[in-house]
Amino acid sequence: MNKQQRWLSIEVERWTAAKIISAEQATAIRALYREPAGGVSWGLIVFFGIGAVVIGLGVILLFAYNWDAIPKFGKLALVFGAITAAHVGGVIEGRREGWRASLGEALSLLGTMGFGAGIWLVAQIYSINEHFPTGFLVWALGAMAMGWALRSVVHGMVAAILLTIWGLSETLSFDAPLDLASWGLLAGIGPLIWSKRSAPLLAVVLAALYVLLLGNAAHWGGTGRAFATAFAFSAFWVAAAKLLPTRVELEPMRRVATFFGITGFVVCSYLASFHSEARHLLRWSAEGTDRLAYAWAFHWALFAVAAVSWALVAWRAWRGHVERLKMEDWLCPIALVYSQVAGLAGAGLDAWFVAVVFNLVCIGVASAWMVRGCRESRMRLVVLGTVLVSLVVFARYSDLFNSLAVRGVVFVCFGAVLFAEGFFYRKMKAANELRRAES
Amino acid sequence: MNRTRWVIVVAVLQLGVLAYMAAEREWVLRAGRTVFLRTAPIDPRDPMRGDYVRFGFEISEVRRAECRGEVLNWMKAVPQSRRSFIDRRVYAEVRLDKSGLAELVALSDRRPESGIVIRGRVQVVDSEFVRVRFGVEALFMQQGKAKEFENEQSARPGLPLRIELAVSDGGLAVIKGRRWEALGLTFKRETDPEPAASAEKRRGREILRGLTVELKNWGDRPLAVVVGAAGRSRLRLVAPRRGWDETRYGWIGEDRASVAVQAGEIRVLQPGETVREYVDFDAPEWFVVDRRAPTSGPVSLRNVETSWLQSFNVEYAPPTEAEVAGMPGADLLAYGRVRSAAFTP
Repeated sequence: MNKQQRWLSIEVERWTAAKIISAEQATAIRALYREPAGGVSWGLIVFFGIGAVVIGLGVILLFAYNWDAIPKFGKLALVFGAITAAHVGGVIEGRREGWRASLGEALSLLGTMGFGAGIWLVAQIYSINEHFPTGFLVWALGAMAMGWALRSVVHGMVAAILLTIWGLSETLSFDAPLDLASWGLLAGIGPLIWSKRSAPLLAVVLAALYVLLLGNAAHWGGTGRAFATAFAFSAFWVAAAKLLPTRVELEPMRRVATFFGITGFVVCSYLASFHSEARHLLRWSAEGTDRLAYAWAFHWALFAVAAVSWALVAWRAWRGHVERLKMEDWLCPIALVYSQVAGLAGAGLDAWFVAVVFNLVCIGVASAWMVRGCRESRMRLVVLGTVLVSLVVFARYSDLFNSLAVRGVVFVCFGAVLFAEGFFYRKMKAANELRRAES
Repeated sequence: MNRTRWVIVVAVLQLGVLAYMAAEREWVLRAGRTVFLRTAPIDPRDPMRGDYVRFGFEISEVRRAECRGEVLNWMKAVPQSRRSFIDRRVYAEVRLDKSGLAELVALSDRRPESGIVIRGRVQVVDSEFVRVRFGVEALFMQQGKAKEFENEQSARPGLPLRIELAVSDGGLAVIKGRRWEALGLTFKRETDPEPAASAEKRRGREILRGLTVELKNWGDRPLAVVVGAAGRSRLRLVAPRRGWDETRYGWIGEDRASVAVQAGEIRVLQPGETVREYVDFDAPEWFVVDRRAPTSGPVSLRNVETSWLQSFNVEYAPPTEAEVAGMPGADLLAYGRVRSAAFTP
C-alpha cells in the first residue's frame, strides 16, 4: 500500500465514523483506489536486488581467498553450479505471481553476479593477466542480455554500472577513452528504459553517461572540454524533458531528466562564475590538440544536438505546445551559446568577462526560483534559490570583495533580500490559502 | 520465443563464456608446447582475485634491434601518438636453449609462419624499446601464500625463478608451473675508504673497488660452471634501463665476443658448494664508457658520476654446448644466463 492509499484508508474510516459518508460509499471509494493486483512493492524489489548484488560481491571475495585445498575443477564446479542453481531458481520463481516473481528476478541477478565472479575466478585459476577492463565488458554484456530477456530494471542498472567501470578503466588505466561505453549505454539500455518507462534506470544511466562523457572529455581535452561537454549535455536533457509527451506514465522520467539537466547546468554555471574556472571555458577550442579533429567533431556534435533540441523547444513553445516552460529555463540555451562563443573567442576575452556573466546567470536562476517558490508556496524551490544565491555571495566574498566596507554592504543587502523573501513568502502563502478557501 | 526461453538462452550463454575461457586454457595446458621464461617476482594483491605474485620477464622489454614490421613504425611515431599503440597485439618469436629457457628472437605485429611464438600486447612504446605484456605476468595464490613465496625467495638469495608456460601454436600462453633454478649469483661489495681530498664532495660514501661474485649450486645434483682467470671471465656487466632513461655508462665489453673455454676452467659444484670470482674495477677489462662523451675514453667505476638512475648487474654468461663439446664436466654445465641484483657504483 502506498502513502496516498494509506492516507485515504485512514481518512475514509474517519469519514465513516463521523457519518460524512455511508459504509457503502466507503467501500466504493476504497474499490476505486484499490492497489493493482499482483503489484509488488518497490521496497521488496530494492532489498532483493541489493541482497543479490551483495551476495555476488561476497562470492567474488570468497573466491579471491583462493583456497589451495579446493582443486581447480572443484572451484570451477562450484562457480558453474552456483550460477546454474541461481538461474534455474530464477526461472522457476520468475514464472510465479506476486513477490515470487521479484524473488525470481533477484535470483537471476544473483546468477549474473555469479557470472561476473566466474570471469575473475577462471582468470584466477589460470593466472590470466590479460586486459582487465574486458572482464567488466563481458560481465556487462551478460547483465545487459539478461536485462533484456527478463525486462529487468535491476539488471539494466548493473549493466550500466559495469559499462561505466569498463569505460573508465580504459580511460584511466590504459589512456584509451572509449565512446563505445556511452553508445553501449544509449543503445543497449536506452530502449529498456523506454519500454519499462523506468525513471530509476534512467537516473542510473544518466549518472553513468555524465561520468563517462566528462571523464573522457577531461582525459583527452582537459578541463575546458569537460566544461563544454557538461554544458551541452545538461542543456540537452533540460530540453529533452520539455519535449517529452505530457503523459502521466512519463512524468517520473521527465523529472529525472530535468533534475540531471538543471543540476548539471547550475553546477557548471556556478563553477564558471569563478575566475579560475572561467579561464578553462575560454581555452576549450585550443585544448585536446593531439586529437583535434575528433575533439572538434565531438564538441560540435554535442553542441548541435543541444542547440537543435532547444530550437525545437522554442518552436513548440511559440506554437503553444510546450507546457511548464519557465522564464529561467531560457537561461540554459543562452548560457550554452554564450559558453560556445566565449570558447571560440578564446584569448580575446578576459576571464572575468565570462565569470561575471555566469554570476548573473546563477543569480538569475536563483531569483526566479525564489520568486516562483514564494508565488506558488513551494518551500523547496524557495530554499534551493536561497542556497544558490548564498553560495554565489559567499564565493564572491572570498575572491571579489576585498574591501570590508563592500563586504559589509553586500551582506546587509543580502540579509535584506532574505527578509523580504520571508515576508513575500508569508504574504503569498496567505493569499493562496484564501484563494483555495474561496474556490 | 517466450521470456523463459530467452532467460535460459542468456544463462547458457553466460555459462558458455566461462566454459570457453576455462576450456581454451585447459586445452593449451594439455596440448601446448612447454617454454620457460626467467623472471623476478614481487607480491601485490588484487581486490577481485586475491594475492598474487607478479612477474617481470626478461623478454618483456624489447630493444629496437629486436623489433620487426609495424612495431618499428610505432617507435618512430611522435610521443603523443604512441599512446594509441598501447594494447596492440604483438608476437614474440622465441628460441629455446637446451633447458627450455626462451630467448627472444624478434617482436613483430605479425605472427611468424614458423617457430615458437608468444602472443602479447604492447604496454609501453618508446623510441628505443617496447614493453610487452604476455598475459601471464601474475600467478594467483591463496591469501598469505604470496608472502610465503617472498620468504622462500629471500632464503635463496640471487636465485632466479623460472616460469613454466604452455604455449599454443597461436601464441596463447598459460602458466603451468614455477621452479627455482639451481645456480644462484650474489655479490659482496669491496670498497675503499673515501679519499680525504674529495671527502667534501662525496661525504658519507665509500668508493667501490670491486665485487666478490659468488656462484652457488642450490640444487640437489652437481652442476658445472666456467670460471676463467683474469681477462677470461664469463662474467659480464649489464647496465639495465631505468624506465625511459638510457643509462649514461655502459661496459666496454658489451659487444665483445666471449673467449674460448679451456678445459680446466670448467668447475663442478656439488650441491650447496660455491665458487667465488673477484671483479676488479681497476682492471681495464671492467672499465665503462660515458655514452654522453664517447671520446673521453674508458674509465673505472671508481670515477663515474653516481646517480640513482645508473645501476649495473653482474651477469654470468655460460658458453654454448658447442663451445664445450667433449670437455670434462660439459654434461653438467648449467646453461642459461644468471643475473645478480642491481648495484650502484
